[in-house]
Amino acid sequence: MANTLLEVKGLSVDYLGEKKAKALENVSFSVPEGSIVGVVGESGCGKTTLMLALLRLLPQAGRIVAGEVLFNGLDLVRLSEADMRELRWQELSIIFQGAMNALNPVKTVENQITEVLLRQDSNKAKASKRVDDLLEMVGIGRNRKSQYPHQFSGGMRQRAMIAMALACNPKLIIADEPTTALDVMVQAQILELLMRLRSELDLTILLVTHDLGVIAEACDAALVMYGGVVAEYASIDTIFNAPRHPYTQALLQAFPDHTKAKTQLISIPGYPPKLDDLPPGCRFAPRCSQVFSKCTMTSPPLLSYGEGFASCHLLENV
Amino acid sequence: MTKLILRKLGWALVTIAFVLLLNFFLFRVMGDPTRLLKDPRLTQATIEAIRVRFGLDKPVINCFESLNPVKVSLQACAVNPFETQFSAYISNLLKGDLGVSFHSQRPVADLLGERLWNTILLIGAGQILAIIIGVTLGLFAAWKARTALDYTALIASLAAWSLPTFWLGILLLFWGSHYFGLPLGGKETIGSGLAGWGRLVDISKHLLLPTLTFTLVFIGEYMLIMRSTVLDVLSEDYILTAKAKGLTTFQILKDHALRNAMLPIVTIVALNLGFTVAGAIQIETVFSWPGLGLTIFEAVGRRDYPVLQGAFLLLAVSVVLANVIADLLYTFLDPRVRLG
Amino acid sequence: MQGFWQAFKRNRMGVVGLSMIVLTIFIAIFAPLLAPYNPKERVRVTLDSIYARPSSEHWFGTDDAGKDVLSNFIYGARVSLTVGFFASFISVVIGGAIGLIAGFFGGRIENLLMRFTDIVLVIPDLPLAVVLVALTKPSLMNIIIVIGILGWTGTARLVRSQTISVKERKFVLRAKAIGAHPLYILRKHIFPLVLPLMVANTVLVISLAILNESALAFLGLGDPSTLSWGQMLNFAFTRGAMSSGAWWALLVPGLGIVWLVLGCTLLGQGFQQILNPRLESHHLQKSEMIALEAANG
Repeated sequence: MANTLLEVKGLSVDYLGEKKAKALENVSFSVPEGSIVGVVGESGCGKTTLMLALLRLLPQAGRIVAGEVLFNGLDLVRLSEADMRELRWQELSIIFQGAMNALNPVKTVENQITEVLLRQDSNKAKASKRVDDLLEMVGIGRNRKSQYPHQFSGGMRQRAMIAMALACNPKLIIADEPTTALDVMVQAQILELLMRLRSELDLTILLVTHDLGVIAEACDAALVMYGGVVAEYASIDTIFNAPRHPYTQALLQAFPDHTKAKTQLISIPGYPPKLDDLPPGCRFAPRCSQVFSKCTMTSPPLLSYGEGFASCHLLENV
Repeated sequence: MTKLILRKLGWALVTIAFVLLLNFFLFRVMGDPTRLLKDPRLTQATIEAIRVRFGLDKPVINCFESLNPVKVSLQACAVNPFETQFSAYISNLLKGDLGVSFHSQRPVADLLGERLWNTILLIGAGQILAIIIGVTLGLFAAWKARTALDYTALIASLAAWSLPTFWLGILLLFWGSHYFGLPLGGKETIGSGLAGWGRLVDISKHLLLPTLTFTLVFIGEYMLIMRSTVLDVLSEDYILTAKAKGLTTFQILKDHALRNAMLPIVTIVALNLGFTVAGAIQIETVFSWPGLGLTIFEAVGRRDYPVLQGAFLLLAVSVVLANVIADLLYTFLDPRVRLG
Repeated sequence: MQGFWQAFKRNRMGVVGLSMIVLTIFIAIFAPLLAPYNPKERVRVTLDSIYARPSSEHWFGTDDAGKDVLSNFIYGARVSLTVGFFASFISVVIGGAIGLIAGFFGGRIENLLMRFTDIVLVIPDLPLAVVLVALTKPSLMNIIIVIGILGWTGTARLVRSQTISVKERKFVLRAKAIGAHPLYILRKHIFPLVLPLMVANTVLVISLAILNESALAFLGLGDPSTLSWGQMLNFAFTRGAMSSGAWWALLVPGLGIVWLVLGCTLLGQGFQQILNPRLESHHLQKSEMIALEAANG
């Protein structure tokens, strides 16, 4: 069993506004070293909030109100801002959605990568050499390093972003929907690139996506999120073959499975909850097909069922 | 890229042509300017010489003998288009001849030439200070948005914007001359016989208050614009990336926010040139700073139309040219435009 | 409208600005009742009555002609307000018409009008105003017209961009599709939606007009028969207030201009904050983790 690199325990985040929104509540999961853990859920379920909270990059209105984020045993939540800054990119880096605006339009790609390299070592020649290597690794010719982001295609920008994320050999890479907003072909290439780099460099990746196909293809374990809470967290095998949470089950039914010929796709009725207007009890109860009276009154805790965890009252009876 | 530059230059030419036409017709609608020459020192012969030199004995333009009163005649239509007041105006302009001052009888071009540099010195010093201070304040105000510092800077900027330039100048002049013994005006102490270093100090003393006025009047505006631009920049995704990259706040402000926000500032500085010229006229008048603004003020008082006409033309054309330069600079500075 | 008023009442800048303007209007209307002296009245000038220091008789002292500065100041509000309102009216009508036509019809008309606007925009205002007033008679009417016809470019650009964005809205497209007359669409559908922004902009145009009037008056191009604040400053500055140390004659009229212009600026800012609300939050703002220690004991 590999070391646990990241362990999140009971993380809760509120957004303060006219109405307080409980964006994350009691989120727990762990990421073993060298694995790829997928995070999946509908938009607005708190995936991005979770990633930003891990890096302590929440917007001003966002507050971590409870929980621990243990990274190699170090609690990131309680680190000083300066210490946290030291860790960023050196130990944990992030690949943002789409990469469209994640790169500064008026700085060259090289400039934006060297910026982080020079934090450790002010040798410019060495940094320049490293940029060449990194770009080669992600399949960008070194002749293009002095170009600006707008001269790159969407896929190229995402490759540049990946190269940038790898720059300092971080222990954990968070990839927040790295393939969203790209052509299908390019999506596949980017995913393939990530997989290749993972095996070459032995990376640990937290991969956020709303595409179950990506999860099935790339991940070792998956975290299914619903309305700011963990619905289910288990190995890929369990998630796809024996999910316990009704939401995971519904999600799978809504997802085309190419291995089975004639399954009918069933979409989940209703909408995800508004985070500033949550139902009492289980957040999934209003849309759940197996709802019973307790569900609408108390919210279920995260329960272990051997192969994984799920937050559902159904597990209590087992 | 080349096409873009050519198009911009083309529009600058059209604008300058418009200014030339405006400058000519405005003053001709007034009628024959020499009628206004009341100076008893002028003999009829001198006036006649001026009239011939500027073609005032010819029709204003084809078909129009004069514009005030409007006099149309067939005879005027038949003249050679190169034998009109308008063609004389254009050809004199091309020769750099802007006419002769009614007041001092000196060529207007020489008068303006002497004073242009003083205005450039004043505007340059004032603008550079205003931009540096205003941009810095704006950057900080945006970074500290919605804090006491931000609100103070915001209110101060709005107040500074509301100050009539000449009035602020008067107050500073009153205060500086009464309490600090600063000079009451002019560019240097007349008859002091100072040279070299001493003269430089003397000129600086004279320049101090006008520059301060200029700076205070324009800080507010640059601060407001910078604040809103930086607010936009700081909410961009790439700032979040920069933060995730572990850069310090100072590095992010310097390398990402300032750099990106400075681009629009270039355009704003150019658009502001009209206000800058307005400021220069008022400040030079208050401090008797011998620049183009004071020239305009004096020309108005003396009804010295050739000087007024020349000064307006010079100011307007300078502003148009400065605008083109800023526009091209922007094109060059922003890689998104430069590399299309 | 109801919602706008509710939002306005909560906007401190706007309320303060409006109060400042209303107070000035009040002073202007009731000038004869408020002013201790009538500025038109002849006074016997003695050596002591020129630039007399502020006293119980003359709260703000006297000017170069021995007249009460406070009374001149109160009557001066009338001139500044008149110029501000009428000149900006001209500017907004011209700018609004050009902006609406350019934005609504687009194409070649738009190109032509906006190019013309750009040309007028780069020509420096004040020198041109100086030339125009110097070439005509410096009467209040001429000053209003000159300031009015030079101050429309900003409004034209603003109204054009707003018109373009309104034009693409569904109900306008629908009206177009069922064949409504363009002028009808312009009047019934577009103008009402452009109007709020135009009103907000007008306040700023007024402040510019007041500043321009005072600058022209200071440069000796004011109407000598009406004593505006700028004219008062011109007289004080050119007639020895500086050397007599008569700060009151230099300070008071200027404060009037600042008061009124600041009022307009604040009101304009307030309007813009309501019509164009923007989140003033960004990525570098600190997010404190409150209640964390308490929650974890």
